[in-house]
Amino acid sequence: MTRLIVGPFNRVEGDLEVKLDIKDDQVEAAWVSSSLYRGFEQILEGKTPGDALVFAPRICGICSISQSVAASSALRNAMGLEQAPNGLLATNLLSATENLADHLTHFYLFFMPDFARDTYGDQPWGEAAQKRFKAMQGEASSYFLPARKNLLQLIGILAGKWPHTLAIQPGGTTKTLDQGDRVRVISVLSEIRRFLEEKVFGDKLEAILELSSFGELFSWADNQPMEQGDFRFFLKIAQSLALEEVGKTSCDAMSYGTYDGLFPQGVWRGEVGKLDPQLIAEDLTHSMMIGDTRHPSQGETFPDLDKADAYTLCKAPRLDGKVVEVGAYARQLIAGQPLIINLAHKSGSNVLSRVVGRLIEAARLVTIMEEWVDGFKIKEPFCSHGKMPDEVEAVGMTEAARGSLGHWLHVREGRIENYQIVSPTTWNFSPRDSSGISGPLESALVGVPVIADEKNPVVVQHIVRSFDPCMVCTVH
Amino acid sequence: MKRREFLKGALGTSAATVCGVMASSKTAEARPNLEVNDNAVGMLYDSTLCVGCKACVAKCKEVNDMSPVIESKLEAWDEARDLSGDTLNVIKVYKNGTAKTKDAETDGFAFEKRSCMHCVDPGCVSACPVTALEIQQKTGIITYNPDACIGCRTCMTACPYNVPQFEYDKTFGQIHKCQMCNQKGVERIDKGQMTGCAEACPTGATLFGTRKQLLEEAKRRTALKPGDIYNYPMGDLSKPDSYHEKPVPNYKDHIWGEKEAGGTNVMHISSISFDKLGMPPLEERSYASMSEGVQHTLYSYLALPAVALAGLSFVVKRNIDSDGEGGDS
Amino acid sequence: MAEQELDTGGFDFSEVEKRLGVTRRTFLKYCAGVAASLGLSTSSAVAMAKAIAAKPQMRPPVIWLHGQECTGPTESLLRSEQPSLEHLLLDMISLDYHQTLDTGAGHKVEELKKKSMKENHGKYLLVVEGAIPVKDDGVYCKIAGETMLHITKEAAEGAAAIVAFGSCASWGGVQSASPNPTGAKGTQAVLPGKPVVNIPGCPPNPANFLGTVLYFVTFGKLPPLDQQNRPKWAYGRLIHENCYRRPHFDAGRFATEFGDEGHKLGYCLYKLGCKGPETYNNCPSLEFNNVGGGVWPIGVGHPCFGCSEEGIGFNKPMFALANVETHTPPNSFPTIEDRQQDTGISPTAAALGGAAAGAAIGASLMAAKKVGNTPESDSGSDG
Repeated sequence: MTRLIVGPFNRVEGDLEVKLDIKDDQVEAAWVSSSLYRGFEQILEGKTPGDALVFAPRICGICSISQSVAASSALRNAMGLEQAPNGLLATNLLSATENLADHLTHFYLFFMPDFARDTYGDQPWGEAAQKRFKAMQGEASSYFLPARKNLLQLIGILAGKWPHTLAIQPGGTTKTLDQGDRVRVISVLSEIRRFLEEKVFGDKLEAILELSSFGELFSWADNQPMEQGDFRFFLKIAQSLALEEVGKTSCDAMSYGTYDGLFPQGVWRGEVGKLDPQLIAEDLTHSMMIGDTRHPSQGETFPDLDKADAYTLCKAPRLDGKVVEVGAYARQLIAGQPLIINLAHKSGSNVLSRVVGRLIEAARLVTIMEEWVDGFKIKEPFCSHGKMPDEVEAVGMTEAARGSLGHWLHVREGRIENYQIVSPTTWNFSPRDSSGISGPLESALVGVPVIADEKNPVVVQHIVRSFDPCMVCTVH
Repeated sequence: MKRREFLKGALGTSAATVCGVMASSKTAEARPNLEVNDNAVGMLYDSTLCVGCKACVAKCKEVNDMSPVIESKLEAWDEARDLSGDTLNVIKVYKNGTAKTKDAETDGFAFEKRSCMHCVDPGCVSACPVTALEIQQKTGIITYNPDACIGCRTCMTACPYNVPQFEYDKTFGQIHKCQMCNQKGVERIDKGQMTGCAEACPTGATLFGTRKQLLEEAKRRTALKPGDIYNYPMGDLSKPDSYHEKPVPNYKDHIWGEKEAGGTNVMHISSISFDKLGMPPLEERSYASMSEGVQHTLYSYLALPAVALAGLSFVVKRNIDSDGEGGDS
Repeated sequence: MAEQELDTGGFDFSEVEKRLGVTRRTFLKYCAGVAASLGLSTSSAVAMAKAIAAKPQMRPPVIWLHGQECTGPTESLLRSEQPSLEHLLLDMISLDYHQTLDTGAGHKVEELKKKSMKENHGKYLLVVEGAIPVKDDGVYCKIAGETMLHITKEAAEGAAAIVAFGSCASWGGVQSASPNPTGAKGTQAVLPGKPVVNIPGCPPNPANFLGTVLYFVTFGKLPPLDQQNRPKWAYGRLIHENCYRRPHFDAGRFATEFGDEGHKLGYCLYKLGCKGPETYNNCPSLEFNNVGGGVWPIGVGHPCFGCSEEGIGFNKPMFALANVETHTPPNSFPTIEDRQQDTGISPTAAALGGAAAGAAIGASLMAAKKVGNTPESDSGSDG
């Protein structure tokens, strides 16, 4: 048996190392380790509740809006406040824009460049992949980066800057859109649609959203040459590498729900069931954290890097004691997207279904965003106001691009008594729990074929990146 | 010549004249200061909190329906230099040297508010021959009744702070001074509101409350250790609309208005000395208490007109002479 | 910049046109714009343009380290305009090591980094993004088994210049907020004696970084710095003194709640906790996200919270009021001695006239007027 350490990972947000035990050219066991700690929860203790809006987004430069949304909704729930309808629309637009930007950034800058490696040089698509997706040099970045600029402009118009805005408040947004802003938003959205239709899908978004089965998906892919849209290009690669068999997990999938229920809350166990957030608990058995298993509202965050049997700073959140996977795939599954449900029934969660989940969601988001822009009532308020009670407990739950994000808040004597954050990648990259059960990534890596001398197994890269990990969120 | 010298001179002269004329009178003895009314409403101006935004000046003009003072050709905002018939409240600045540091006496600057101090024992009320100026028993506010005013402007000379202002540009001008937004037609205090300036102040530099509460607050602040964090209330001290935390500055151990000339309901605290901020040197004894016995004796002998005219003529002559030499204040 | 084109003495820009995919004219305009914002002359702009265009072989190698951070600065840099910032950056420098953007993965890249550091000893530009935790020997941030503290010190050894990009790298940033659980520090704090250029901001404006790098590439030295080692051209001005809402502050007009009447009218955000009066940065002129039209925090109606200013951002509560200590009182404030001069006569004379004439004549006049008017006058005449 040999032990292999993969990492540090580039092209992921933050620091990550994966330890693999290899036996008979297969991964026998995996340990995922995150090594960056900053202490946000400790810092937030004793601050004024409103300061959560300053600190939370800084956890992460790419989930910044989602962190703001979670923090503002925790504060809103604590105040017992209703969002101004315009503010809700603006927040939704911001959140969707970030999700969209993250999905595309992941696809173009983080995930696809792995197919441009020399390993794949002799594949029929190898040369084309290098030409298109080589990191920072491929053609794709020359058209993707300007498109990404459009998305960031949209965030700019609504939130002033990206990352890290304070425009998202408990009662709505500080930005009051006028007619001119609305026109700007509409024109940027049409640019985004054009980019998705011309470059990403090579087809109308509506046509993509009509695909409802594995078979339809691949026959759509076969209809045109693989250069017609990067999604098609990916599907061809996926087909040749059988990515639907790579990085499989068999756990449940979860979504906290977002966009005011448009993507609903729930758990997927072969069918959609109800989620009871009270059943969430963080197991610290193999985490370099002191404490016992607790619901996040009672949670603690005290690192101890010398703790025995601990191998990561990441906690192990479990739902009713069970491992769950989160992300765009889980979200679309629970939102009843026909294609994703079909993929789930056919091959479950794997590299293919995670990537398809993300891009299908991207197409869906653009069409929804176009509707939202029409919903603004320019003359109505964008922000409502309330008062923070001196003593209160509340939770803010939302969906970041990479999965479920929750902020548990306890205010006492007008100050933050406890603030616990459970991020998407904490779920996906969680270590073993007290029963020795691995988190989604660790179990997805087991059984993966690795050639003896391969120092940097590319399959492992595909699997790790298919979760679109955000390590800076994982441990904060 | 300085105004306060003039004032001292005027009071001294009239007192001396009166004493000369009425040397034999036993009733000319002065009374003690009027007693502090704990329930009187007042304001605490904390110069160290003031950021010079002049929100109080703007709000005051809005509440009291007064026009802006425009001095330059470019009509911008209110440019009032001092209290006037159009200005009841003004923020002034003390500057020294490079004026770089706020609340520093040397090479620093500081803001100071000018408005009626609402004396506990006011000279203006005492001097007004027709009781156009009065102390409201319930609130302690010094009010002005334009219907009673005869335009004699004696109140202006009797005020150590140069507060009452006359509308010189009008034939039948009135006196204008802050009435804590409680004059007829405004009546904010009677309605349970606070003064406009206290409401508008973004930092709580102007704080509304009862004199007793405000004095306690002022004592608390001046006793704090510089650098410690203090939670400053804003608006109405009895029910602050918000607070803000700030490190405590190096306060002077002096609450202006606690004792000066019998005390005032509007008090000031600062981290530079009050003479730098243009406050007159005042004893604890009120002017009114010193002069009133004399005046009332005069009234009883019906000798006021002659004596007052004699005294004033003397003063006027002297001051016109010195004015000629030294220019104005 | 003016529409007039720079005189480049017939220099051939066809190569750069090809490389950056922009026209010569756009390229020169860009260089002139950068030079202007750096406070440099047009001849400097020409020098800059030539430096970029002519000598790609002289591109300084760059080692880019990530400590405790959120990748915000890199994210904000990954944006696009004409010529695209990242294009220009990648064209100007040779990015030998960058964790988020690299093609490769794993220890191979770490080896490349060490190789580049050795080969370019004394020549490379070190960019640090993120804070450096020092508590417990720096164990809270490890990359490839080594602490960020060690990595930074090692990389600083042979660096020609060090740039701390973002508030975290400049002074510790968000994680250094009380109680600073990991002992997070800025780059300068762990590299005593080494000159570090700070480009604070959370995220920092990429133009401030690129301008500094451009200056370095062109002139081979760093731009003039202020006392906190920030480039003067970018951090020399107080936000409050350059904010488009400033006139409202001077008129005492404040928004008190997001979306209230004053807020809609663009009133000053001071009362909502804006830290513009104690934060030095060029946000009001550069704005964010290359959108234009007032896209920056104060522009979208929320207060500045001082993200780039040590001791302000992450230290003062969001809604706490700022100190306006650096607000030099404008001349429009009356001084303590000032008197109103609206009557045209000197105040002293007026007062005296009032005292004398008022007592003698005014009184009788007023009395006569009152007597005459009393029946009709309701609330006192207004003149």
